[in-house]
Amino acid sequence: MTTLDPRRTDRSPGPSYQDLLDSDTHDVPGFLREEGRSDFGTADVPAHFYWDRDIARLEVERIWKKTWQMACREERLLEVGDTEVYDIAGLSVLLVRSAPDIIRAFYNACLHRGRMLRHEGGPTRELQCQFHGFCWSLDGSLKRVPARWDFPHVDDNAFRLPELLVDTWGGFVFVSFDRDVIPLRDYLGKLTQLDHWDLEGRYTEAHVQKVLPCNWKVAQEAFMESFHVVTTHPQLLRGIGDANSQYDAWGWMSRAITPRGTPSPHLNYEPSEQQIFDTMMGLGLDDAPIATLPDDVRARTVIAEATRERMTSVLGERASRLSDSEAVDTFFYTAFPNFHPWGSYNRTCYRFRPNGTDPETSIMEVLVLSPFQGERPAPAPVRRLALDDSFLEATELGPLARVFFQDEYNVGFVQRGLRTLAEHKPGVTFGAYQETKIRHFYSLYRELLGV
Amino acid sequence: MAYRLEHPFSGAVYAGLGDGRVEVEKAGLRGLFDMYGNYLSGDVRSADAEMIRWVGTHGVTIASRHRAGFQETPAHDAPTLRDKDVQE
Repeated sequence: MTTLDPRRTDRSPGPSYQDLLDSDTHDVPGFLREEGRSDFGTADVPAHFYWDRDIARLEVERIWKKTWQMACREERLLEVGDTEVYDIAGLSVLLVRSAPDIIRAFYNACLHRGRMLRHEGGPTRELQCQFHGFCWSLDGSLKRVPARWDFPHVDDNAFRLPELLVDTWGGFVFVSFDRDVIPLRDYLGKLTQLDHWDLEGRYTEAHVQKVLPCNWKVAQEAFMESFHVVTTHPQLLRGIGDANSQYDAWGWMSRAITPRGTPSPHLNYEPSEQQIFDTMMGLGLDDAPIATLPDDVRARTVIAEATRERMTSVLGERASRLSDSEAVDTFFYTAFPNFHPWGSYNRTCYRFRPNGTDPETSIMEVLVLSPFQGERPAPAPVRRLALDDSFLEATELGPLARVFFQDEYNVGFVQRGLRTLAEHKPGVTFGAYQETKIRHFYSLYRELLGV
Repeated sequence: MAYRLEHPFSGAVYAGLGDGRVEVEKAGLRGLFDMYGNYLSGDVRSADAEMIRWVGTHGVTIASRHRAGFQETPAHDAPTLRDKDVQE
């Protein structure tokens, strides 16, 4: 195996992700060989971006009203009359399957007195306001006005529900308040490389939503780099090349790839392949061994082979073609501003939003998107966790529940520390490379906000 | 039996006692902490809070999605791999 050029001082020691691909036992998808932009300067990001209400208001006008956003999974809108509600920064969108091949997104407010037409998803035959009974058809046309004689000034055509732009990709429904936004696929750009792993052919096995005590950007930034693993998730270090991750950005999206089955370069010793394997199995000191590795076998290769075999039951012959990297490594993508689907079959997908108009709390959502065979299973109901609840309650997330229990230890204290920080230092200082995804985010964010 | 894990840097041994508490052993000394990393008693008075949060919650879920490939699974359960292979 080759290792990174030791003269290159802007990358961690140890094998790079591309080095590991060189030793993959299977063909690697070409897009994993691509490297994008990772130079977004070294300027600090002002700390007040994380609590300033004027900034939050600017975000509404120049980000939330201007960019494509993932509103829901299409599987929640399978039948005509199915609805879903997407709330974002004080605004609400009502998504409706209005015909077998048409999904519409309406401003979710009655044109009479402004009541939300629906506050949660579910099936319906029409869109009736629960206050006085103004009612619209699923296509948004005015259907019924109670005491019609009292509204001679209401013109039916003018009382059609206003709509947002809607498009779909990968089994997700996207909306845009801005009707002049660029086409969705142009916006997603290289994010569509995720088609290789068929996100459309997944179902929502778990969906957890939790209120966090921090700005939405603080929250998502905790999930946009592997730099924090060395301190926040020390149990992983013998089996994760955290600092050897590759970070790339193109257009409106970014990508991180963190190699597994290779030790952290932060360690001052070289773990044996058996230690790497046991760590990736989550074994404690007293647990019975799962497998004993011969001296000349790599843990990464063994786990990849077992994963391919395991996945055959759901992916069929396609599983046998998965590269070691696809079977073992971690791929986490971001589409600006807040959508974070993971690649390969890691099955994770995040979305982060402001909690209404409060800049100091946010909503984190985790979806587990699983492949299936046969009839599509129904999507899991959303488990809603309040500010004081812990991710530990969400056992349907498997190991992620405990990983997030570690992550949630940080984000609230970041929010609380930022104001203190600003007393003597105006901004936060991100790494030049390992926090590429965050720097890429702010290059777009600051351009849109003009700040 | 307690779930014990060695810290990858210090070599200290973290033992989850099954009730959320974690005993940390460093250089022959021991200390007891709650699952949030708060000191309770003993000679070891400081430890890695995140390691404690991991070890102290061992019984909540399984530890690794990578283990899925090595587990026997009934055929009807195979497609979803529920609770066994979520990426950490």
